[in-house]
Amino acid sequence: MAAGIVPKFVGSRVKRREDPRLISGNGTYVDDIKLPGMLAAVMLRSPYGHAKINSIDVEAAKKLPGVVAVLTGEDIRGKLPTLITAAPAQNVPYHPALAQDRVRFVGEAVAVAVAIDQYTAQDALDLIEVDYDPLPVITDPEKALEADAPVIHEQFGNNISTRAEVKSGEIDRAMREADRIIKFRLVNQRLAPVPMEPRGAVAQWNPGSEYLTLWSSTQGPHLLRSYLAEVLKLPEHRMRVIAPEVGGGFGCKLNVYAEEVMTAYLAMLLNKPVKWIERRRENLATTTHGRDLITYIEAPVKNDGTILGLKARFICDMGAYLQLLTPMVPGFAGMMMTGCYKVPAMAFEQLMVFTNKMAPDAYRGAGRPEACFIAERTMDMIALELNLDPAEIRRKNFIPKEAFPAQIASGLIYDSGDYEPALDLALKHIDYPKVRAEQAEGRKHGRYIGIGICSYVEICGIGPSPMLPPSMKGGGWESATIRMEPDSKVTVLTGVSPHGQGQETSFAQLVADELGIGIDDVTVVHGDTAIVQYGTGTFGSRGTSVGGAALMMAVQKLQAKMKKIASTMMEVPPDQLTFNNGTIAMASDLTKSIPLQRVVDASYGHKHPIPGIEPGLNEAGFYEPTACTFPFGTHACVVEVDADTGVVKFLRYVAVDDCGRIINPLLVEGQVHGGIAQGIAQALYEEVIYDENGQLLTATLMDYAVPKAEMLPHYELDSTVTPSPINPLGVKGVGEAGTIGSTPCVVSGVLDALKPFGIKNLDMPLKPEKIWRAIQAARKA
Amino acid sequence: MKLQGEQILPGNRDRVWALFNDPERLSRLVPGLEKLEILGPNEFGGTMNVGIAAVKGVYTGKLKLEDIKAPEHYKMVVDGKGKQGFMRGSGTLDLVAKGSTETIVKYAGDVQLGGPIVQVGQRVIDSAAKMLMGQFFAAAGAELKAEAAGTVARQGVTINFFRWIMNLIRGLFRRS
Amino acid sequence: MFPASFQYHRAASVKDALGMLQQFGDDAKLLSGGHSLLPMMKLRLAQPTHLVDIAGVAELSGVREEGGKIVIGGATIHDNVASNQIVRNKLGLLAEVASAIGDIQVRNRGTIGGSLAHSDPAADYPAGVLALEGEIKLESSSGSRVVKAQDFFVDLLTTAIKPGEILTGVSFTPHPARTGFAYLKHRQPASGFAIVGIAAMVTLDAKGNCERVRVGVTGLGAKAFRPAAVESALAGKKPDTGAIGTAAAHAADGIDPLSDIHASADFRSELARVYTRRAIQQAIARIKT
Repeated sequence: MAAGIVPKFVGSRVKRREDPRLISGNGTYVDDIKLPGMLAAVMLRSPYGHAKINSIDVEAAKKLPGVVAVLTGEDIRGKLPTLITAAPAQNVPYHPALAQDRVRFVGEAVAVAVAIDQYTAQDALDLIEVDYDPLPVITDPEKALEADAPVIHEQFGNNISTRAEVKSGEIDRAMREADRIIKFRLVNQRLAPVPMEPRGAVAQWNPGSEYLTLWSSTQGPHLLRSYLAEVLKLPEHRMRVIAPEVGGGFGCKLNVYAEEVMTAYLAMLLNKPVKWIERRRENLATTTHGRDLITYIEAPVKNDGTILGLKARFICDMGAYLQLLTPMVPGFAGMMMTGCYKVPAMAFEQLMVFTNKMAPDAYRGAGRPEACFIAERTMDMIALELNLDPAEIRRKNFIPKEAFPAQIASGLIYDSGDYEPALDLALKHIDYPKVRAEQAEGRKHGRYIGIGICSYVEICGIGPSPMLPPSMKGGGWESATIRMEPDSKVTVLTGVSPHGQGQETSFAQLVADELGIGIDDVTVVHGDTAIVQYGTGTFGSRGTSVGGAALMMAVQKLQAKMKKIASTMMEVPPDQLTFNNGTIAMASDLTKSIPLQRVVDASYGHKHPIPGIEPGLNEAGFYEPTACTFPFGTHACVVEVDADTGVVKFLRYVAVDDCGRIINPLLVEGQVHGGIAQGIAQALYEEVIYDENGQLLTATLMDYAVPKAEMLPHYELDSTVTPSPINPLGVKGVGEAGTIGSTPCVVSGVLDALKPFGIKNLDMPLKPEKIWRAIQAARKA
Repeated sequence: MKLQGEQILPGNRDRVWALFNDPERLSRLVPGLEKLEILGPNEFGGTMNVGIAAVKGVYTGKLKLEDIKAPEHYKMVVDGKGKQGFMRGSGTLDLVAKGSTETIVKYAGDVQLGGPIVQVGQRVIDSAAKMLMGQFFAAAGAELKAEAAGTVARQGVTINFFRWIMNLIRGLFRRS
Repeated sequence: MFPASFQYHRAASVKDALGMLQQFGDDAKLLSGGHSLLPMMKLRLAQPTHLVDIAGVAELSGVREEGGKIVIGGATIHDNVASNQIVRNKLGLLAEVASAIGDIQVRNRGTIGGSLAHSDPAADYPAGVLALEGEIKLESSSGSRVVKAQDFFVDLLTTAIKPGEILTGVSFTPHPARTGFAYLKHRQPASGFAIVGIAAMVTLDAKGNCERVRVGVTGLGAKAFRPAAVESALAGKKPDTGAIGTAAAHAADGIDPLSDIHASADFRSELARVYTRRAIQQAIARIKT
């Protein structure tokens, strides 16, 4: 966009262009794919947390009319390799798509039945007899470290997958020189991502052309293609992966699952299209979980509240096998755990431990909610121990504005930041002094009001490529192609794979403004490896900051070419031209212009060839960021705890987020709303519970507490804008910010309310009974 | 799941002991039990067919008695499974005479339950187990009374028990 | 989730449904709102051969006044009870209970008969029907009978309904004058069921003393119940804070409380006491004098 032209779309509240088709039932999800002769696959799953498989009898199942095939782990042994983990780990277990010899968590697939429909396939499962010998189960990662704990993967001798240490700055000196060391334990409980659309896959194999097409509800179709190519030993040019409409991912669809591999394998084996659709119980048991991190913190501080360092020991529950990024997530937590504060020294040790549970992996925030929880609970603990104001302790330790770009102890460089204005704004919204006075007054009358504050910083726009594990496919870059069609309408192909983020809208806004056309003149296409150039996918709030930047590169190339053509037609130098309202015009005098269509005609019709200019209007951009972006903000809440019942009620919830330049406030607010909902849910409601025998007790939505609207507060949103210098758009990313900022904020508020009882810490979720018990115990003491 | 409790049964300790050691009578009293085979000394195998009305399921299992001190104590080791769930565990049974006509039955056990039925019905499992014990003792009490009166316990207890199991399973899904 | 195969029958009338129940016996299940039966079938824990759908039977649905009573058909969906003007004006407690059930989708499918017949220990309706001393009508091919709410709930998921009977309706006496009511519920966050739900109805006499106190408790024990000690402690008394507190302290007396991952037995008992106190207080505060 040239100087002097006011953007029409960027910055305005454009409604999501995805929604009309989605809310009118015109979206096509994986389960809507129907192919002639398509078969249904259904998985038989282990009811045991840990057991030896003695035998599996599938004969009766195979004989059932309508059943085409029944496979067990023995049928794929040696034919399908282990499933993949891309993150570095020391002990990586063999992870077959169907269990062999042993099952190691409830829900692990032990057999698959393929039949003419799902009813028949399910009937077949009922006829399979599996003889198991139950083995001792271990579900507590700390107990899994004990010498006499049952060993889940015998070849490793113990349950440790990886032990890693990171140390930076003079942490030992910090510990020595501190006035006091504040120590505590934090637990990020296990969560289930629960996208509204469960997973699913449809595979079609053409034996004539030896070509595989796979539809999958995935966040990264190209990544999935690359990994499947490796597992199935197929060349990538004979594979097409399509992510149709994807009904939410939250990180759990950035993976390569046993079911995707098996669906493809079965289609090739049987020469028939095969569909597998996950049921909700499977979704809760066998789609990757999130968090599950125990942290022991030591914070050396001065008596004036200055933090000198941060030391942590992480016990990371890996579940029974490693999924794609399972071992990587806690690393992010460690690297970011010093938050928005000047912490000159840090050290963390990670112990990644196998248990008889499903593997956790990326879940909205993936490491940063854990990091932020550590940083913010540390600030609250310091405030509590030193009897200082929690807002002031944050202000005192903030990395100052003038320090940016700021390298933190872990080595990361924060691109830009200005933390105090966000804090000030949040405090102003809740009227901090007034609400503190109300709190003091309330306490006199048995009213327990709490004020929660969370100043967060997170890491987005993951790139450059070295930021990703070396063995991960794709990279830290992203891609885009822009095509101006012969009628001067625009098609954009993006390498990211949005599934709710709204890039069909925000990218169209960008393009429309840049090319001076209407937003309806732009269509954004994504999620099909046969159509779209290679991309890495949507995760880590990178869609706009990396994918959008790639798009801008493509747009600039297109603009340059079109200006060059226009230049010969208008006899004006290209650098004096700009795109305006369907024309290419002189920047200095917009009335001197030619319609875009004429330039397009010239390019496609090529009636008057311009020397040195190829026909057609099709440009691509691949963008590798130089660094990550670091959005930040402050969330503040006012809660009231009912001391008789432990029930937490929200009085206020204010979120001030700084995600850099805002392309569409409506999309930003939508992301923040959903993020806060999931973050509050971690603080108050959600937890995946396995009993000590490895039975999943939160196996349905009757027991796993996904929040409903009535359980959430009214959100009051505001923002500050600190553009990122990293990318040409100045954007940072906002997909996960709400989740990251809200969890510690709510915990901070509840614990602040409980301060009169002397309660310093409680583990999430802060369920009424937990709060009630703590109050009861305090009253007795 | 831990189970613990005590019940008073109408019968002296020898009679109660005899009942609790009689596979024939137990197989008649325990509802749905199609057969209780003697597999070896103090070891039994059984098939339970819960196939009433809406609910169908066949459960097979083994029961082993250990640490037997007649007429006052034994330990039971159970292992059973079906399509909808499994159960493994052990428990102890102690009989204490209460006068000459009654016996206090003390039981304590630790049972591991698993499979779909537990995963979808965690909320009622504990109460269900308590009730199951109650139902069993009601049946045993009726049997002992009938024995004293020289008749055979009516099937009514069994039918109620069936209905209860059916309701239990149905109840694993809450409805509004 | 794919059920085993079954035959579906749509009943045209109560008589028609009763005939089918007789014909298919134990192989048949009644289908009304389907909120517990269908999930159980999808998990294949239930595999009935015949489903007899009574949701469309006109005579089973709706609210009517009959001889000074308010009669609600067994297949009336929750939302139609919650929004019915007769119920709202004359039987406010029931409307309040019905509107607290599940969410809007549940309230548009689930039926009062289904809920009561199922007798889920955490369902909302049983607390209200107990506090209101509702009368439940059961019909079979050999006739009909009426069971009082107090006698209807037998045990965990067990009611007085016999094989071959259909719950065709529930009748209630409208709230008398000087009556207030409240339904307070501690929701289980995942399912929306009651961890504890307290339905309270208080009628004061002309002097302002308690003429009648009725409390229904759900969620606490294996079945919904009326805490007799709470009701009797207030009978004839002036309902001041002290008296209400003393009475409410008996809410969990003699009950073996449920316990699960959402709430322990101790906590449930405490919630029952706290919510009973609050529900009675709120009921009294709402009395129009």
